Amino acid sequence: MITFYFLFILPLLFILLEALIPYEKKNLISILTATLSSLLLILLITLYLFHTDQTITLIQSGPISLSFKADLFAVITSVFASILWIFSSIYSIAYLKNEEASKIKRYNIFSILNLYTIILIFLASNMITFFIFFEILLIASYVLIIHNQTPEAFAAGMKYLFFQIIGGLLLLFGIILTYSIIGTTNFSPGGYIILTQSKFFSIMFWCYVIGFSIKAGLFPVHIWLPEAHPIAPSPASALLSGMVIKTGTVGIIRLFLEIFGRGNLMGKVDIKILLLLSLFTMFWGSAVAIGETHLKRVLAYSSVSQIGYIIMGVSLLSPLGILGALIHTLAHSVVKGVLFLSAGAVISDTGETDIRKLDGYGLKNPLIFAGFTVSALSMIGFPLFVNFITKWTLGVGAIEALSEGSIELWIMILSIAVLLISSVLNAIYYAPIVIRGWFYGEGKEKYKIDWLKVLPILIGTALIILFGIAPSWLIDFSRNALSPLIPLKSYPKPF
Amino acid sequence: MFPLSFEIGKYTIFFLILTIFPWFSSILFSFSYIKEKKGEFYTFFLLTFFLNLLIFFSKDLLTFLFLFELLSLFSFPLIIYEREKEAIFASKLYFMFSLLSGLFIFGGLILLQSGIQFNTLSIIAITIGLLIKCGAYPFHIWLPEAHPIAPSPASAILSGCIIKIGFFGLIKLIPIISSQFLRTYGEILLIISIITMLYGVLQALLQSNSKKMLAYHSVSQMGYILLGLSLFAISKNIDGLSGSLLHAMNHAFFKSLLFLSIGSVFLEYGSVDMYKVKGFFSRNKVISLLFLIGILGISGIPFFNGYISKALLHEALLEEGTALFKIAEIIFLLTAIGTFTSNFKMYYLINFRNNKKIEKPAKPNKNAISSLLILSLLVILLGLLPGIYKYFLPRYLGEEISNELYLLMPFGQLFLEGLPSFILISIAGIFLIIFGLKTGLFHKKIPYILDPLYWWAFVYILSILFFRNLIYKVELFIIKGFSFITRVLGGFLLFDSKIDKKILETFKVSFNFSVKKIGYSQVFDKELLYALTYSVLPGDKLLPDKVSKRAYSFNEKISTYYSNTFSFLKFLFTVANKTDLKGAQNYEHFVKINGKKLITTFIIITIILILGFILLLIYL
Repeated sequence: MITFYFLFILPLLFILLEALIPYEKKNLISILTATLSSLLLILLITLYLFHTDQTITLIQSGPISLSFKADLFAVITSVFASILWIFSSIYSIAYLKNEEASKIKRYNIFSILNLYTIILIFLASNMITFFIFFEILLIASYVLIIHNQTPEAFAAGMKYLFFQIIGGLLLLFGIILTYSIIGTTNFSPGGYIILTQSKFFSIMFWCYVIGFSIKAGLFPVHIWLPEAHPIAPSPASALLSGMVIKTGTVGIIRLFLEIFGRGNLMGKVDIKILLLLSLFTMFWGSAVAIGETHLKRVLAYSSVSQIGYIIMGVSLLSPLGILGALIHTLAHSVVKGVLFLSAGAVISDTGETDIRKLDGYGLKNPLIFAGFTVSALSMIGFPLFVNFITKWTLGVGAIEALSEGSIELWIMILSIAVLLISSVLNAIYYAPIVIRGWFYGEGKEKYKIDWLKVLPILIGTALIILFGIAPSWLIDFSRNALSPLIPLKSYPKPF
Repeated sequence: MFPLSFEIGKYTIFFLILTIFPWFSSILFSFSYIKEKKGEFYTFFLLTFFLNLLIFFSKDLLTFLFLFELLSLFSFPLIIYEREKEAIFASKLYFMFSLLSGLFIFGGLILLQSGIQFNTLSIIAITIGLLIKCGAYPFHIWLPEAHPIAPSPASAILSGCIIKIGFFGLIKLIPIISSQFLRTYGEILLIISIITMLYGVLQALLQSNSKKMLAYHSVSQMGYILLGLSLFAISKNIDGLSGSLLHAMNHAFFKSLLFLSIGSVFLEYGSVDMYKVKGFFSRNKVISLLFLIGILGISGIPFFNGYISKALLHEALLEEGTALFKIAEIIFLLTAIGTFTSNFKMYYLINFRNNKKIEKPAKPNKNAISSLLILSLLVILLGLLPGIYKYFLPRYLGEEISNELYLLMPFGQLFLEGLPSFILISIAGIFLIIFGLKTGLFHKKIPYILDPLYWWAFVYILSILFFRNLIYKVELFIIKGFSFITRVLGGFLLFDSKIDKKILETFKVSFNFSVKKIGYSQVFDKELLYALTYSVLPGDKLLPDKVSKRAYSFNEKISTYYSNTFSFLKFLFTVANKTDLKGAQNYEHFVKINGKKLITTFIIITIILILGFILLLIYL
């Protein structure tokens, strides 16, 4: 119990601390954020080791009940969130060094708030809690987006706010319907069969799904993403693309497994429509990214495509598919984090965001560009890196879904084909940037190595390669995380 | 550890021997060839070597795929070593085709996980992936671009060892194929292999760049190898399988020998154009002689190793008498004539023709000579004593073949049986050389319709122009649609339509080009392909300049207008900061003018939403 209380109170204390620090000590603020992220990581691990599956309820009055449960699924997603936050906050010490003190303070306070709400979202044990912190996350991430306060930033932020508020309202409507049918919004393994049999199932399903996918970035409600993520400062983009959009996908996973129930959803038309939509997103995100010239816009459209992968995995409804979705969520947060952080370093070193002007950057700043290269190659799907594992798991998940009978043959063939085609499309826009950076220009002057920027990128790269070579840790933890949710006694392995 | 599984399989020893000698010679040769950027070259060269050896220990296809993708990745910098535009084009083509083949194998492996159900589809997918790696028609187009442009030691091992890895994969694949599909599979593979053989040698005859000619010969000789494999698939023909295995080894040895010799020619003359280089024999007799041994090997001259494997393959081809096999035999013969012709033509053109002046002999290059010597000795040895093969082949094959290998020794029975066709080939070849050189037959070009490179170019250009244009238009439509909806829903006071229009305008990419404007003839222009692949964006060079402006540039008037509109947000977070009084003043000014509008908007939206909810709840 104590660990839970620490988890609730510690970030708020840190926010207070940071708010009280005078403006002169800019660096101290960022260091405090990094410290908090590490402390939260330790707390989460303690939570897992000593308080597994304990629930704590803070408020209970009528339909509103704030309760949290520390099951393995929550802990593993939160652990990756805090790892990403550690990287990003160490990086932001160097990146935001030259800004005004008030902006740095604001950035760090809201960054902590972001992490706080995301961890509480992941730990939530019913939909109401999930929703409440979902809305708070909206405001916290909005502040990160408009950090630069330029007109374009405000435009992008306004668009983001508009979309997310509508999404939140749809979500609320779904929750109201759920509560009115079953009287509770608690997550229960195996789901509630009454929900899938009721006459409001389609409305509920689509309200929830559209609400979550506006946050996640599924076609056609993805258009806020390529405006919001590039305009934010790079450490914030890493957080946004890494974890904030994943709250939508985690919401869908929780929804499908613990509110509707995997077995109850099989064979419904709505799931198949969602599957086709996610396949189209996989293709569409990469296809639009091919012609983009702004480096961060390319990465933002790539995020759209990867969300398509995750939603495809979930809507396949097979254990391996959902496993693939979870591993992809976790892996992609690290990979996209490294990509955005190195893109930020590129932009601040050269002052260029146009990818046609980055010739020879790899020769001038090899460490950072090596991080970029490794994560770009991972996105394309080369073995040795973690995305190979996730793509394999998703593919085998499609086969398993066919054998379970939840999808038809043509859908399975289409999903495997789109999986492969999107690899080609990823290569078409990532490979030229990588090749151009290493093989085109000359590397006469080298840029100074800023270790605060390089260290997170290198550790992230090491994680990508580590999970690519020895994925058993990741896969086993994910299998153990998902098996109580479905529930499934023996979870199949992808290999 | 990742589920990679290794074993010492039946063919491991064979392929290791096949791999080690060309690599050893290439590394030795590279000491005198690679003078600059050594770190970059040797890092990836040796990484490729490591993976090339490791891959033959792989037990299942997943390990094979894993290592093969890594190998393609690490051999990429070898091809782009010279940073010219041809190298960039070739390397991007290589990258794309390696990726495609990896994805085909990946898809096939995933389908195999379902058990028996998708056996046929997965086998086809994996085969296409492996054929891309082997360089079979029509997937070979990366090969004649990538192999010539790499430095000679790299070309030697690319042509010698790395394309054999695809062959290794196919050998591992055949036991998995279900027996009712196997015969059809073999027949399709037979057709592909004979087309590959013929096409490769026809293109080789018409090249002026020696390295490109050797690359096309690699395509053609892979056709031989696939021919033997297809015969094995059709009727479990042991001659076919061993013929292709032996030909793989022979080709590794004489092709790397040839590439390294051409490398020596390049070191002397700085060019590999066979019509421009002359008189190499008088410059460097030793290397020229070793060069000749390679030529004799590839042309299938008796006493050298090419003859052994070609004889075995010919034997295998004679076993069935159906129409397909007869056609195959004729093409086999024609290809042999073509190989003979093009190789001896190249040898003659490069080494002789210097009637006027006598060249000074060049300094002996120890690295080159010793590396070429090793390979030449192997070529000669395996030709004279084919029994040695028995020790490398897997035991069951070695035992079945040992009798035929014995008979293929010089003046053995099978040796003499093959002589008549050899004499026919050589006479026809010599006539063709003389006739061709006199009439300029070798300067013609293959029609564009038959060359898959231009099929790819056509599709690529069409997809840039048409497909990407379409996608951009749809995305633009969606963005505009949402802007319109949000404005209708009450956001018109909070969204500035001018800003949105500006964003949309810079987002719009005007593709006014059609294929007709470029001109069909331009599609077949190599320069256009180089320009297209040099840039980052597909089609970058085609875009007019005004489109490449940055997407986020506004003038000041609009900035101030916008910052006024949103200074209430600024106010929230910076008015506490005493340095930003201007923002606070802007906000007060803004509230005075627009305050009422803002408040009414919020109230209207709230009322509409509440009414909407109530209506819905009543309805339900």
